[in-house]
Amino acid sequence: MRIPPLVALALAWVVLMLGVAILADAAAPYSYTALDLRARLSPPIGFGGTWAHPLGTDELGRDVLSRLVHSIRMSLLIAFGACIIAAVLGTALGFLAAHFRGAVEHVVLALVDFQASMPFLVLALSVLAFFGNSLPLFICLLGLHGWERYARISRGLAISAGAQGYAAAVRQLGASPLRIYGRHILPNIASTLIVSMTLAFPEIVLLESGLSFLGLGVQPPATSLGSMVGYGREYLTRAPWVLLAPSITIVVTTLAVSILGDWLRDRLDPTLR
Amino acid sequence: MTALLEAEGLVRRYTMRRGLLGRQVELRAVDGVSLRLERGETLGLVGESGCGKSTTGRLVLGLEAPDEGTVRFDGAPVPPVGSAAWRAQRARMQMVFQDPLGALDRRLTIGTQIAEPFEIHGMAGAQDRVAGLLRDVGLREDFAARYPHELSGGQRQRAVLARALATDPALLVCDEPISALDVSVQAQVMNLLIDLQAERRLTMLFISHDLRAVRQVSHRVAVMYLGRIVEEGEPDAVLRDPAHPYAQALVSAIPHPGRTARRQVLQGDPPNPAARPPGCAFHPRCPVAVGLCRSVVPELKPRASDGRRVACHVAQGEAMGEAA
Repeated sequence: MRIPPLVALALAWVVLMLGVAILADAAAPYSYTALDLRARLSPPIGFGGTWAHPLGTDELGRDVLSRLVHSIRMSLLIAFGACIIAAVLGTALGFLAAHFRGAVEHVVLALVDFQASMPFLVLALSVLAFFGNSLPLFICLLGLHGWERYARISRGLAISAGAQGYAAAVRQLGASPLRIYGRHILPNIASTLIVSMTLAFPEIVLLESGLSFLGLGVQPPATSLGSMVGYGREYLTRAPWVLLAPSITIVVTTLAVSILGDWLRDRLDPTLR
Repeated sequence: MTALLEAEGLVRRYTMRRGLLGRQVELRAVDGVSLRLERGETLGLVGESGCGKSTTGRLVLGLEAPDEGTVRFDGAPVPPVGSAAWRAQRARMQMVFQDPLGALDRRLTIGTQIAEPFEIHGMAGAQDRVAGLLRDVGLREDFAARYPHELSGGQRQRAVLARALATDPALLVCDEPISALDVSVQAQVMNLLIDLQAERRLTMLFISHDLRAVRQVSHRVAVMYLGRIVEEGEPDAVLRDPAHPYAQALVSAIPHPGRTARRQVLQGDPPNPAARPPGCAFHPRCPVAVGLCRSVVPELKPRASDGRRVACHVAQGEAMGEAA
């Protein structure tokens, strides 16, 4: 198996991010809340900084590298968790609609339209206002973002597979619905769902940053890539590294995930081998 | 001994809507079809596209429930679609599809897919049987490890056939099994079907628009027009001397080398199942239609002269009193 260099690079980056997230406590040189008031807004190495703070410090003298490491852990947890929740929920509802048709399908489609037409911020605001903020709730809430796309995709593809072709053929062999959907339809539409997931991943990261910036997401002193960008914005002109470090991480990580998803889709398709 | 399959007065309607606010139109895809298949017999079902051949096949297999009429398989009614009994019965009745690439899951190897009926119906020894099935349909055993897109059209259809035969079914419905294949391969698949039918004493419903293919495999042939069977009989007799004007037009459309004359071209619009003409559905295009044909629906019954079953007033001699 040959891996193209770009994909290898993307894979290496994602592995690095996962490693950093898992080993955050060991990888961070300081605690992410530790203050160094004498070295406030010190620049990173190469811009006049010292090895004490390789990526510089923020307005309170907190080490940017340490905060970045903990932010990566938090953001990856939220983004992966929310992506998986959305994909599982959406695909399950889509299959239910495709299998039962009739009333079930109408209910699912009504929910899909409701979700698609409702500004997500309004939903997020009301849920967080009523139930307070906790990390599991926040992940589940973001998991509600974008599930309707998986539902639409999986319903449409399941119906077309069932109307003619392999699913109809397996059905008339006497297969149970579980086998038809689990063994045949899901693997066949997985490539489309995976691509959809890699598109949703950056969106969730950005949504998380937006909500964190509004003070609704990750609450200080906990930190995430989004909240780092949000708080660093105020020092954009005097200390751009506070904002640039998490921004670059977001861009490179989402790009790497997209490249990996694209490659994975091709690998999962035996006809493209 | 009862017939393996008896279908009585099958009707299948679809409703469709024209435009956003259009009236709902009822479309009768199958309109009162009765079939009887004896064990080990092959019935050929011919007709132009849209005449309800495939729907009849699906109704007979119990893949769709008819709106009216009954299907009895082996003396008992077919259980409701999707029930456990229905699923278990699939082992005894199988289908071969027109598009073999569409009917195969492109992510699984041929061997896995042929073994699937064994898994579904809880039968043991899948691996040995897969090799035997591949041999039976004329494929090498190493094809088991290949994916559908790595096979040619004829090989794929053989694989589909192997999967359909896996559970040793009593009834096989072939829905246009050769029309997606090129001509040289068509003959091979036809011969394979004939051999398998004879070896395994299969009962077959062979659906096709190719009259010559039907003649080659069938013991009996039924001609369909707009959801009804209009003529039924021995294939050689029907093809040499068709009784129904529609069957005559079909037979005259078979190309013959050297023949130039006597090709009967049908006039008028192709049939529209949503707007069925009153009386005999064929009368607007029929060259010999008389007044009776416009008002009374002809019944499918044996003709007085030779016992051929035909649904036509003219062929039955009922229109003699009127001058055509």
